[in-house]
Amino acid sequence: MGELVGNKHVEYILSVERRKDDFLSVLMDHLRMNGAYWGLSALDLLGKLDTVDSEDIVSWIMKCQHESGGFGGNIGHDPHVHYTLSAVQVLALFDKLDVLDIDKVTGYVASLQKEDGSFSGDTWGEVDTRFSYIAICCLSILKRLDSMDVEKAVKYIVSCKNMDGGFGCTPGGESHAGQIFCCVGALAITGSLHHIDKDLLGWWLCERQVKSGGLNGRPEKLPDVCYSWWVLCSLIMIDRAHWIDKEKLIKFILNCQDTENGGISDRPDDAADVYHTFFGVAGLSLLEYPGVKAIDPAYALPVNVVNRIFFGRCST
Amino acid sequence: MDGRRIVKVRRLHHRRWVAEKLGPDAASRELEFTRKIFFLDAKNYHAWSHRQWVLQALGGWEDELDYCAQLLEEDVFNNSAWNQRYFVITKSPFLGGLKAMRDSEVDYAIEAIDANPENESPWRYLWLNDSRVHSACLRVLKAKRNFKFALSTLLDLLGLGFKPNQEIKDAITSLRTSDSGEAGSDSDLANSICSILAREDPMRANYWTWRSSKLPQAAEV
Repeated sequence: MGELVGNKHVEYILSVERRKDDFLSVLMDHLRMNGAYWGLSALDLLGKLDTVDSEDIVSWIMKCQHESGGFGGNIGHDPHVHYTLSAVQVLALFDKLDVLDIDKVTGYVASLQKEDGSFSGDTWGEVDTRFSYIAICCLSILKRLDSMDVEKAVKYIVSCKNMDGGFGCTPGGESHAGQIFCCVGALAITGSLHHIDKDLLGWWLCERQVKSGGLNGRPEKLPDVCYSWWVLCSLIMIDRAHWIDKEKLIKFILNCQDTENGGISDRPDDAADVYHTFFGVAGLSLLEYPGVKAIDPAYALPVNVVNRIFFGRCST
Repeated sequence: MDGRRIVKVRRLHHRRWVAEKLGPDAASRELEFTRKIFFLDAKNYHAWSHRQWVLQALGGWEDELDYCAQLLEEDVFNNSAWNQRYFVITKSPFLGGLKAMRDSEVDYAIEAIDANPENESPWRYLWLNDSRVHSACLRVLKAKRNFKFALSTLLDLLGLGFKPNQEIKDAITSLRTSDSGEAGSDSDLANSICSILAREDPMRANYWTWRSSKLPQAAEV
């Protein structure tokens, strides 16, 4: 079996960060905030967060904040709850949550909750359980969960539960591993996991493992490294991770590495990108691969960062 | 990839905003729009989400079940289309709901199972308490190919108190192998099923082993 070429991935991520002006970077310009979260989290998991200039990044992040309190994908871009969470998560990585006007960010996120408990992503109003998770995760990190109606939020998420035990984006929406991660994560953070049929969902999730050892997101879809996170994370949160073949999954993730240029792709032999690099490394973290820091499944941040948020400074 | 996905979603959402302003007349146009996406990518998650929104907000349910059938004819493994079928039969104002549709839907799912017993979607679509399901399981077992979901369904049925006939018992027995040590020593049918499944589906061996630990004890009445 191959091994994790961690240093190559670090070099890859740093090179992507530097490549601000090429065509692909410009295309992805609007989601730079998400890219920052994926890249910097991966660096931290590989123990190399200190290779970047945190002051530079923190100052850029704050320039992305809109007057509404939300954050855009880049400077001058419209705010969205997804970029807002990424901004908060990156600040947490650098232990710089104190630069935030907590009331302002909280106000923006809480304002996106609707009457039925669901959350929209921005002022356009599109509702999706992804945004429920994002809002809950964000407000929890800021220790302001009391700013939303948690009971209604949970009720809405539960209404998106399907017959197969999974969850979709809205009531009746097809069960999808990404949506399941969001719903399970949200229920975990709010102490509401008892709403889940863990045995039924656990089976649906472990059936995502295909012959190659990789995981897909729905029946009859191709495996993708990002599901190493969404599926495995969900299984861990419901205590059923032993229902998949972990060794085979590790092998699959390692096969998705570009061992020459660094970076991880969605499946073997495809082109690498920062998104899949993060989820591949995060998946290996969940699988306790040596040399990778532990990651918290619900908050998708390194465990030491989460401990620092909730339990204050400690010696780790 | 993720960047493309986000751009598509923003456009979809803008369409909703416009469609809402135009009212029910926009329904057929929006449904046609998602149809075009499905022509290229029949499982596009955001397009399905948009289509469900259109049906509920603007209407157009009349042809939806037929459309699902068409997509499943093109690809019976399309899990999104199976999900949409369930969505339609439970929410369409024209079909009478789950109770009215249950019978024909069981037939529909079993037809799909007979054609491709390895297809996960129709198995998850079934309502178990139906003799047609028992017969379908038996047919799959007898063919001795792709019988994983047939076995797991029988396991579920046993858990619900189902009493299999001799034919089913024999079919299960014939799938056991003497070298795995189950034959003769293990008369418990459900345990046999779990052993076979752990052998046939080794990636999920821990799951099938757990299932056997969850079986009702033989002594229970």
